[in-house]
Amino acid sequence: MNNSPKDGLDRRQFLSKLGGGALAISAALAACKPGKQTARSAATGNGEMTYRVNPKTGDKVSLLGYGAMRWPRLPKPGGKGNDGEIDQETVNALVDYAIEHGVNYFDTSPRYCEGMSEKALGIALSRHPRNKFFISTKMSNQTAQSREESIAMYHRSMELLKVDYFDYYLVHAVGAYDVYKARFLDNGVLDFMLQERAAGRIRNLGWSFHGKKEFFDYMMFESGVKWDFVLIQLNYFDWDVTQAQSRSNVDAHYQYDVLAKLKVPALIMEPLLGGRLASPNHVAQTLMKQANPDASFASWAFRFAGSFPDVLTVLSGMTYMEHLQDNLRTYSPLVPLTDKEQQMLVQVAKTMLDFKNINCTNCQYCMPCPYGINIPGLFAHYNKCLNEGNFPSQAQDQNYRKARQTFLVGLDRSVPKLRQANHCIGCGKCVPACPQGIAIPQEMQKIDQFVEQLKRNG
Amino acid sequence: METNHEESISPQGMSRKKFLWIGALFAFTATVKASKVDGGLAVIENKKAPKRATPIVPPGALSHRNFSKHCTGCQLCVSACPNQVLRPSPGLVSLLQPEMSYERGYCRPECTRCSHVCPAGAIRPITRAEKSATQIGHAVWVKENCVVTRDGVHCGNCARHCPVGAIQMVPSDAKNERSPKFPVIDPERCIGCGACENLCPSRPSSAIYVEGNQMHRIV
Ligand code: SF4
Ligand code: SF4
Ligand code: SF4
Ligand code: SF4
Repeated sequence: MNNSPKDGLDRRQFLSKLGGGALAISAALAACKPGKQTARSAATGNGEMTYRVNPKTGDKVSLLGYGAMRWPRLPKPGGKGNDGEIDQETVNALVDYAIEHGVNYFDTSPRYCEGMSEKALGIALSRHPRNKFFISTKMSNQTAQSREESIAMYHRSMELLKVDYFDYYLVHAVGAYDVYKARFLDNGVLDFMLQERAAGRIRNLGWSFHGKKEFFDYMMFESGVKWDFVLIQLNYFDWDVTQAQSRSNVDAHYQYDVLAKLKVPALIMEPLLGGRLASPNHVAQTLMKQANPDASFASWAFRFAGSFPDVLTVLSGMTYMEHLQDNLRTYSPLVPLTDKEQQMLVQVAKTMLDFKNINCTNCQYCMPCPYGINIPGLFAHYNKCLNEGNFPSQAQDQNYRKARQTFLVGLDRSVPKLRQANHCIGCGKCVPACPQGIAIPQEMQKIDQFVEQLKRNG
Repeated sequence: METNHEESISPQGMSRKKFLWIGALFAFTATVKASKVDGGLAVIENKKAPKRATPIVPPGALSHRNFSKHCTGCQLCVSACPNQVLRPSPGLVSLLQPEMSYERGYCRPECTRCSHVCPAGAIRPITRAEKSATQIGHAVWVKENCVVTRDGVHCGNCARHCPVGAIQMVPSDAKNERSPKFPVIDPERCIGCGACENLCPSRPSSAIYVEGNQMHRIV
């Protein structure tokens, strides 16, 4: 793995020596106009990416990992949306830029982006030497069921990713023993993966977790498998405060502590809660800007996840170059959170509870809804209006009419009428797919009734 | 995948029709499973207008006869309708008199706009309260199209959205509270607004649709 900085970085490093390392994200620069602008235009931080070492293989892994679940999409032929083919040229540019700036971990799955993610990532990465990156993909839990289908999926991943070994391979989104047993144990699929690891075609075998504590404990203490890593959901919102909200009865704090104690590297997913922590409610925004007016909202979430020393990499599903650059800035290098900053984030998490957001991370696992509902789209609009204060609650309120208008017009703009909550029939098919344990049909009815009230008071 | 909270019907004593229905349920689940990837939106088929024995006309129009006698085809109501319920009629026979149908929306409870723009007395001014008690038509259920039968899922979207509570979901098996529930319509309460027809998931033909009343009734 070659991590020596490219020419582009040299200049920045030079500037950073002048400017004093991590100061780009500290308030000190606010007073220093030219320095601040340089930091902005030198979009990717003042130093080198922070790396973490995998204790088993010695892999030097970039703290920022690229999650390939939200690739940019082109419009459908004749359409205007972003629901068509993956925009391969942009993907190539993103991957090139990431590698150039020190990112070396890329994570995908056969299910992501309607099944198109692996192929796009394979094309982009095949333009780089194989020893420049670590690749990770998954044995999906819902797509295939039999041993034959599973093995076919495994080989197809290799083919699409154009590789003959996986650096990291995961048992995807497991959360309960009976499901795990039926899907991976009884049919010998786990045995197959263990053989592949023994043969060196899987360099690290792990699993991603969304579920119950009992199952987490089983996997860690009783499964008899020596796992090389575990992918867990960790962010300042899920760390302690929110366990009551989700299907999971175990917070990230507990999971991380167990992993750290057993010296199993933790990989992090949903550091940003599907983007929600990048645009939190206005009270949270005030707290963050008061702590540091120059830091982006997202950077707090990444610093939080990265500050844990036994975290190997933090995955982020970056669709836009600006997000990639912002995250590079945060981790080049990581400046760990101070105690005071940690406490500020605890406050932020508390405000989020007050705002009663729906806990959707836009993972798209529930989609497509057979009746055409845009589930994450509706939840996103609802949360957005709550967070921006465009949430009309009382017809007597002074700005009720304006808020009502904003809500309804925005709704029709972000989700076509036929895909809105009043078309959800409550069939419940989406429910088992949601890793956050959201009671989707009930939330849909809540939104529907809310919209209905707004329309009637019009 | 099995998320239906209702018990499935035991194979003994099952009619042929029910048997087919369960077969359809499995076929449905299987297609969903085979293609399971994350994301994407299901294609939504356009709705087809049902054949209505009596055309529906807006609240305030009093009767189909009154409407066709006075309407001059000026299209003012068509442009006033915020719910895409009124549209220019295609035939010359109707002298450009608008047509009312629920494929794209329904006659929402808060709206009385067409009644206030009609210059010809075809649709007379009406208040919201009066409208909520005016039966312009009545809903009819078509069992074969209902997704409860067809896909073997919970639905009740019609009952949930009826503004006057004229639809009840009733267990198909009197002895089993948890058997699949079908909509039962109270024609005396139904005002014919089309919420059920418009929001019914069955496509292209809704499993519940509004038949016009020759003469509007006040309840
Ligand atoms: S419960 Fe609603 S959102 Fe979920 S699959 Fe059924 S119709 Fe779609
Ligand atoms: S509702 Fe659940 S499954 Fe669907 S996108 Fe949101 S978090 Fe993912
Ligand atoms: S009352 Fe309103 S919704 Fe109904 S037909 Fe007239 S304009 Fe359209
Ligand atoms: S909305 Fe349509 S499919 Fe659903 S229960 Fe009513 S008639 Fe049946």
